[in-house]
Amino acid sequence: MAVISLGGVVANKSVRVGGDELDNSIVQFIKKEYNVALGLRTSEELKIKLASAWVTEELYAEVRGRDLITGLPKTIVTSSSEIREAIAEPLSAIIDAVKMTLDVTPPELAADIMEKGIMLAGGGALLNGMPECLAHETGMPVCISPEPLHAVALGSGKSLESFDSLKGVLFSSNQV
Amino acid sequence: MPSILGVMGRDMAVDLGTANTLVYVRGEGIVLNEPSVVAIDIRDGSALAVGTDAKRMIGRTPDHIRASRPLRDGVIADFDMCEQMLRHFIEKVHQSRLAKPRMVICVPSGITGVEQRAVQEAAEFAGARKPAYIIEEPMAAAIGSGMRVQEPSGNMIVDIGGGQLKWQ
Repeated sequence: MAVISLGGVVANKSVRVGGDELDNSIVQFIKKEYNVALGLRTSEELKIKLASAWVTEELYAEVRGRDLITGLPKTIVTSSSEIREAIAEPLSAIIDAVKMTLDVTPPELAADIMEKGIMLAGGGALLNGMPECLAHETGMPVCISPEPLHAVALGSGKSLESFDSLKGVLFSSNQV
Repeated sequence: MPSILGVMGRDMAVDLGTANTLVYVRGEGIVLNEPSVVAIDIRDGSALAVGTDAKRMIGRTPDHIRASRPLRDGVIADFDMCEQMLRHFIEKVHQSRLAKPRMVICVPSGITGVEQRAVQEAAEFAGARKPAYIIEEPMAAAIGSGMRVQEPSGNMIVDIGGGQLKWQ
């Protein structure tokens, strides 16, 4: 996450928590609660189906994994509130990082952001209830990028289309 | 014009994500969106499959095949695999092995100089024209979301990557 002004990054904070981290914590949670080992692909599907950051309607899903006690395949049923509990930790790491970034943002810019809101992009923006959760925690308006999954690719593409005017935001090997 | 393009390659921008790699070609938009997964045969180090085909192999490989994600937490975890993957994508976009496209690659903000260098070199080894340009992900995401980044006004962007959370 970053605060940007005049074509440069003013404050930024990067936490190495993303969708993968959420997958892992779901695996850990299911292992602890049900003694069932899940594959990462299954936990990703589970996340896509059930995960939410904010209280939403209760959904249930069946997943198949390997029972750690008997060693045999087993089917279990889990709910969205359980998955919310599972991802609570990585999610709070993200929210803390947003708060820390706001903390080091100069007051002028913080006022601008208060007016315009925080823009959410990336797959994480599509997590159910993520904007509500972030708005509640920071007290700032939150909006979602028009194309959250493609924002990064579109933005870097735009830097190619108008290479000369946006050259300032790029780095090349001679500068490093 | 096509002949020049054929030799030099088309300008491309690559969002090298932990979960998915997106390729944008100048004048065309996003042309490719595939999982960042490579399957290699460890007996001779050759790439068997890249992208969607390789993703299906994860967790289902015999001993001599390794399917994995060359990126972890947005930075390169396996240099050779990453280079193979980029080469595959460059060839797929150009349908030629000789292309030397101008390339912009995204990196997460706050990565170290060494990590940034690794991304740049992987791109150059894979066939990008030197120098390969680097753009910070939050900056790219902000531009892509339509924020006016050049103005003297604050914009805050929160980009949470690493696998999409919901199908659209």
